[in-house]
Amino acid sequence: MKVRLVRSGGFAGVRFKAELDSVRLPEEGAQRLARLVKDSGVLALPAGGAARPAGADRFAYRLTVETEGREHTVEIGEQEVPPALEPLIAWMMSEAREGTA
Amino acid sequence: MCHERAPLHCFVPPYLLREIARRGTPDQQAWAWRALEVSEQFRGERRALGAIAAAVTTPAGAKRRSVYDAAGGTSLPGKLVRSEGEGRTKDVAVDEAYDGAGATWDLFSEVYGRNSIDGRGMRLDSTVHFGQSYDNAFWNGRQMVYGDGDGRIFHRFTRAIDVIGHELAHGVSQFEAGFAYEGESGALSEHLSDVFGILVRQRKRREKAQDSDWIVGKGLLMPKVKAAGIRSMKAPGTAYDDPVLGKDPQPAHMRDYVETWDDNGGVHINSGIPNRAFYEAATRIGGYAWERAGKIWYEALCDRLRGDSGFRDAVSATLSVALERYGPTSAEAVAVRDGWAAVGLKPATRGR
Repeated sequence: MKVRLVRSGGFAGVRFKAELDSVRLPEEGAQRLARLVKDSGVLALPAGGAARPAGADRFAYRLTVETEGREHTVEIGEQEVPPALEPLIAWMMSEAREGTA
Repeated sequence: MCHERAPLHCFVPPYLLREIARRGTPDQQAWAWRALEVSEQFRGERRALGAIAAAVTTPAGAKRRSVYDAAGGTSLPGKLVRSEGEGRTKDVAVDEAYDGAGATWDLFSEVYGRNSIDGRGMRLDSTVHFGQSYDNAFWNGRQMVYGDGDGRIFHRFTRAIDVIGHELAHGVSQFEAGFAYEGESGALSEHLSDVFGILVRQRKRREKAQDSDWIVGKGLLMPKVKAAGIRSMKAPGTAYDDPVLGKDPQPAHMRDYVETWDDNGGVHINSGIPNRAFYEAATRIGGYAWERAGKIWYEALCDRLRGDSGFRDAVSATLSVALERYGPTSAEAVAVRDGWAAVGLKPATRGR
């Protein structure tokens, strides 16, 4: 399983990205990734394109999950992120901030 | 600009009509009102007229600021911690949000004659300490919101007064042009917020156009980050180059316009193009940028730009304001035209 995250926008407009790949993670990390993806319900989320609510300078996320020969991409504004998806995004953002991606 | 539907009124630009509606004799006020109604109907916008109606019918507004504390949560607005007229708190973010909102309100009120964000005396609400290590500030359609930063890359967002001006100006844009937040119209929203943000800072420092560094978000990044700030209006694309942040992606010329799906179509990226045009125009005009360049951009935002406006509409809008206000051979009109030409933009061949 591969998961890629791009965060763009925000006041600063700085682009952060991270990629996690089960085969390159330690066993524990790979299990955590599979669990967070399952719990997040990301594979059932629509691809995006919902009308943006009023306001400006919010973050925009693009999350892509590759698993079992299937690829699913979700584009979502930070204010629309369901609580179940937050832990996966938080983990990937901490990876992105390390500058390792 | 002139259309047969409004043959009488089109000779008087909207900013003058507003002045007459505010300050004229009762007969003149009534006439200016009808003219404004026609021009508003023509532009298909009703919001702006509502703002003028309030400006005419309510006395000059007073500043009303409220600062709330989200205490690391994401519920808005949070707990009220400082209201208008109350003394300083022990929380630097609270006081910066209060002071910055005040300086921004002062610019719009004292220089542009605007009564708050909506033109009708709206209360200025700000929330600080939003989220955990939240490295952002935003306008949510009703209020300003500031994060504390992660402490590694980003400081707290109230630290730069131009960030506060930027967020509040998003509110002004919402009640005026009402830009669609994507592509060129979204980049214009970002551009105007950077303009009024930097003008708040320059005015507070009594800094002339030629003496400013034109850096947006100075002091927002931690000292070890290789950056002058978040954006350079003078030289877009040069604000930072850092191992973690990457390189500033802003273009400085229309030939380098970035097509992307990220960031709502690059609204924080392509704003570099009009940002530099403003810098070029303001430094050519000289003196305090908020006085003439800022006024031209403000009038364009209020009277000429709309939700779907693009960069070329902004060229036509600012140039027509400069021509009407200062005359066709004025230094101001020439500076505006040359400023846009410097980034590869010319006025549209046909106005609308």
